[in-house]
Amino acid sequence: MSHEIETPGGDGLLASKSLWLVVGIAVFLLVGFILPTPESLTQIIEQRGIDEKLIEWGVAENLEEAADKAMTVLGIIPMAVIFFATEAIPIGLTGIMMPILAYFLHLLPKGMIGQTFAGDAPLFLLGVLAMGVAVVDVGLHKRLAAWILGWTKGFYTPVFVLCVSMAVIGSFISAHAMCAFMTPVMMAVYFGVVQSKSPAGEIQHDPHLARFLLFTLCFALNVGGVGSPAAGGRNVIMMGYWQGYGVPMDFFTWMKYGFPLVPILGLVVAVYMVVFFSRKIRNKDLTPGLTAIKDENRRMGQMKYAEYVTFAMLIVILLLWVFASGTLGLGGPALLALLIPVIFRTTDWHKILNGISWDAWFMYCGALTMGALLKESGAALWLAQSVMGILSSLGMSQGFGLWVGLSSFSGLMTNFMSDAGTTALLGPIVIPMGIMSNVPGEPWASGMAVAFATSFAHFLIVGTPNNAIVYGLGTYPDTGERAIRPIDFVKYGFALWVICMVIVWIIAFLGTFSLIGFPEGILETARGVLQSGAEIAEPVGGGH
Amino acid sequence: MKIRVLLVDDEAEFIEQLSERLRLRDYDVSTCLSGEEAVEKLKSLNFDVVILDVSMPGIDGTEALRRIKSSKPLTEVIMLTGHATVESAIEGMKLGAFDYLMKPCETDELISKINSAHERRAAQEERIRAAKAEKYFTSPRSALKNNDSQD
Repeated sequence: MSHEIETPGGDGLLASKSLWLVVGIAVFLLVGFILPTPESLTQIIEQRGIDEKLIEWGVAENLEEAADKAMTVLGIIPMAVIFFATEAIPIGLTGIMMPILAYFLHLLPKGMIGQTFAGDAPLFLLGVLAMGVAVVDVGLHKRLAAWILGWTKGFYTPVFVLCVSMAVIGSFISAHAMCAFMTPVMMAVYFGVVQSKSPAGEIQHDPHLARFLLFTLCFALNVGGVGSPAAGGRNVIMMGYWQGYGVPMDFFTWMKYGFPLVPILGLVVAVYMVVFFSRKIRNKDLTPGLTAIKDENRRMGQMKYAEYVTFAMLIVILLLWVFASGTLGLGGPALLALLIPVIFRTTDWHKILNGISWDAWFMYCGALTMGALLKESGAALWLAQSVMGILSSLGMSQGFGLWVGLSSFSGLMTNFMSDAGTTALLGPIVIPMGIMSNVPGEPWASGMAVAFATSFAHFLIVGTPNNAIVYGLGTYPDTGERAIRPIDFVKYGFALWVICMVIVWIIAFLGTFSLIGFPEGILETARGVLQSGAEIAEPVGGGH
Repeated sequence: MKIRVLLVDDEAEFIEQLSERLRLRDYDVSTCLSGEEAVEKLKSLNFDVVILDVSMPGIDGTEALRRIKSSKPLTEVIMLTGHATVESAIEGMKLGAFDYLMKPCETDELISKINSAHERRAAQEERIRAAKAEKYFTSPRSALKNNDSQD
């Protein structure tokens, strides 16, 4: 056998969930209750009148207690980092811990805590998750993949079509569902190719081809994450944070900044893979393997009623997001994904309920609670000021420099932790940083810098579920051995991560941000919320 | 992708004819002349369907089935039997064989049973893939665990 499998020898320290649970709680207690409160934190709380607000809400009795509450909130951050990174407890439970701590430690008025679970962003996310269930249930994602790739031949055409189409699809429907479907299809394509080139009764493997196909699929789906808010919960969280500062962004506005990047990044993935990783491939004609996709298409037969309904539902929801989110919000159209499949009898209600990833939903809603905690306690402001001090000394305190710094940090963090956890933790801090930079267009620009970078979790398995799926499900059909070793992610993904970051810096930060511009007044509105630290201002137009 | 079939019978001429008939119908066919050889082959290679003669020298079909199901539980096995060994085929189905066929078998019947067995395996694999994908979605780190079996 020409390929060897290297199974990791356990995940060492990270595997001990109980240990990390204890470490997380210990760090929380240390930061939240034992370490002395920095003078600068107390000053900010006093200067901004946050203490008065917390006293009025009945959360604190005096300045000192208000500062203690902020320290408690700060203690949650390292604990959440540890829990997200080590999965000491399920991510949904880490999310639900935020309102639990807020209730039991009396960090916010009880009327405000549950609000983060019932706003437009949580309902939008609920609808997006339901949409994914409906699409997978009727097999529409398979139909789309078969249509797109079924006609291709040779090597370069299928590779380029795969990259651009998967990036675009990954912008709107669940990239993870598509990845789970396409990974065995890619291995079937691979096997068809090597089978046709091997002598009878023997399979001569071509591991470079297997890895090429799996990584091409994975990277193309990853980069699609910048295209629209529906691409992933992390984008929804960022929209929720903006809303918390009175500057919500609508669906189409996000697309104006993010979607032009998608086909470009898709093409870049294709060129990168062809240039750097196709030389050692022995079999460069994928045509014999592509019959696997044609077979799939044949097996599915004619498009069915359920697929028509689901496809129409996707189009209707997308159009409502683009043209009517001003009046309907994002949650309104998204919730149709729960209603339409049941009314038109394409997907059973209980199937939708069972298919929704409640773990993800709780995690994202909990992240919004944490955002509110950080904002209202003054902890976000203090953290933002501290980080801005460091960035100023590096000459990266505003505009392009700030966006580059934030996206680099966010991009690195997303690979080591997870895309969702990164946005959840960084969002509440970067928004005040953006506001403090005083550049028109903030805090949208800094928020997008962080959110876009979380789509580039290319070089470590734990960065995004797409990576875990191609690694776990990418097995050779004849031996069952994995085609990818964990170290291959670094080998194939690190340079692409750098390239993707540079493309975002050039095309988005220097290109579309300037060309499209930002609506007037968002900086002033968000600054008003930050300075008052209390009431959420009236939303300003998201402008399209 | 072609359906991968392993024919196991000690009658060389019989499995040669059978494999030829299956190859003509676009199946990916391998052969073994004993239960031991089949069990060994299945340790390193996956097959969708194994056609296994009940009566063979060395380990018999029932024992070979037991070992195959123990190492590769998703592999579907169809027992080949004569009139004298139908009881063994029934025993085999109790142990997890998909079905049985009487020798000499009709090609159409053989193909129909192979296809049905493959469909069952494919459906089961699909369910396992969906469950794994769900697991990776909530915990990408779980893909790194050694006990995340590779079938």
